[in-house]
Amino acid sequence: MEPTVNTILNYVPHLTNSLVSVYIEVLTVLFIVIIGPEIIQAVMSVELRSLMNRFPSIFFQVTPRSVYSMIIWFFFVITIMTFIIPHSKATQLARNEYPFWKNILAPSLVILTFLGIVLFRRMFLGRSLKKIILDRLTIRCIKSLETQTIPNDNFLKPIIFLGENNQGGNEKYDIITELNKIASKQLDKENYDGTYLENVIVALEKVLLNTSFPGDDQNFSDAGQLLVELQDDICESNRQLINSNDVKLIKTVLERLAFKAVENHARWVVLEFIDKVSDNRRALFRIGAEALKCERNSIGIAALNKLETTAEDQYCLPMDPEKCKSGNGAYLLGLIAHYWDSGEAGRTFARRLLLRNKTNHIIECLDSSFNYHTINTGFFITADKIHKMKLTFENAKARKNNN
Amino acid sequence: MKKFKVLWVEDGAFTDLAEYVGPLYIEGDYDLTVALNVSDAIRQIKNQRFNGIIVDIRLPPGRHPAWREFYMQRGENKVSAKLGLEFIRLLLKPGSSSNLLKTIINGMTLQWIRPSMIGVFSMEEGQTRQKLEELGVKTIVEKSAKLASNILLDLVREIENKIKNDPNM
Repeated sequence: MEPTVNTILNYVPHLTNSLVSVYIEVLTVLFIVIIGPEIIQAVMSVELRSLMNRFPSIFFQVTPRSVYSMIIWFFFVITIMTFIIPHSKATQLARNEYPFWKNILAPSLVILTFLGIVLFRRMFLGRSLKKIILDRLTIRCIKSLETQTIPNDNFLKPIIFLGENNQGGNEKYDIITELNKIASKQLDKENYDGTYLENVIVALEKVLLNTSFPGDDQNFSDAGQLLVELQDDICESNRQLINSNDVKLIKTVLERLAFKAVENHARWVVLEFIDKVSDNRRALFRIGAEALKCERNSIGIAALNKLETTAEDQYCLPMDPEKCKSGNGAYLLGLIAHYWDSGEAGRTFARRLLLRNKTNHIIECLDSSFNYHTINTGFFITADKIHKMKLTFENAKARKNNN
Repeated sequence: MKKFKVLWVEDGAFTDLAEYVGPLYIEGDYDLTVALNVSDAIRQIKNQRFNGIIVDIRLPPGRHPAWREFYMQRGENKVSAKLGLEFIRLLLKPGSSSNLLKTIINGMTLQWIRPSMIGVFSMEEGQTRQKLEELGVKTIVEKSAKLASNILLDLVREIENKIKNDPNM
């Protein structure tokens, strides 16, 4: 006999209240166990989600108890609504009117759950949870300094990771502040020898120069200030550390940040950096050349002005061929060559600079600088510009001799 | 001729007042260093000697704990704290400064700083002006909306001239 629809339906159990309840209970358990964690991840901010995936054990160690309490509260509410209330005396007794369930308990639970969801989302999406986790990571880093000279990588790496993936602005500022705290603690160590800060300084650079989420103007300014203050603290604690690895690294990172700032950041940020790297000829030269390339002339002039002062302080002015064999004169002449090659106005400005600095034996000076940039710095573009400038002077000299 | 070294203590030097910086750089005879707060200014003075110092009266404290505490005592307000005035007092007449601030300059040599080297570029009038004059500071330019872009350069030149005519220098 061919089965009809009715015969099939005979085999399907009739849906009774208790059967529906079983279905719902099973579905709820599945929902909580399987989908629950996914939902928690989904409402988290992107950076925290990535942090959780990348450093799961550390993430669970530093997550505040309040978050776990909130998750337990959710499960508690769902459990009450699914398992306890439908079987409770109040519900069974009041099948007709449901006074207690309908008027008091249900609205309360709905409001509380709604509040919970709002708070939960705010905590995960907002800055607060990130800040709490960051604080805890910093505390662990600082604690690890009790037994070692550098912070424990297990806690420092998540900080760097968060810093790299945070948006520029307040969120990156939080990371810079925490890195500052760690560095200050390292400096406070009695046996500090000028070699402890590498991890933190490199971390700061990574946080700011991340290609997807770079730091904003204020972040660059704050980081520059922090690095200068660290440098001062190191040198103040012990003058012998002026040439230590940490100080050298700070100077290098300041140079890199300054160079990057020329391309992408506001004028005031770069001008601040020019002041901060005023003892670093190479940095000033690179800022000046890059500024000229990006047509940011006011920055270029400020860098050139500082480079002139540095050369003057180091008794490199007036320039002569001997001084141009080293970085002392070669960087200044190199930057002047960039101006020389940047159009008529630039050339006039460069002439004025040469006159002001009373450059003696200009062709020999240019020759020395050309060699310096070809052999020592590898700045071939600069070397070529110096060469071009030298040819102009040689031609002028030849014309003068012919006349 | 060596460049005339100027320290400008001004928190808005590279932002609100950035237009005044350009002429000084282009002129080429001056080396400008900027300190954005009083702590930074003391740090700069510790590191090098300047020919001229230009100060704003309304300044933030920076990171030095003594400046911060003093700033808090004065109500955490740049206008009422007048840290610029206290900074000048500390440089010229440290004896009359508060004990808290005196700790900042412990071990520093400040004899090279003369009143003629100091200029004030600020919005202060009346009482503050009088206090500045008591300290011997006479180069004062009032900030206003319609200042020429070479106002800072002119101020530096004025200080340069005053130094030349100062018999104590």
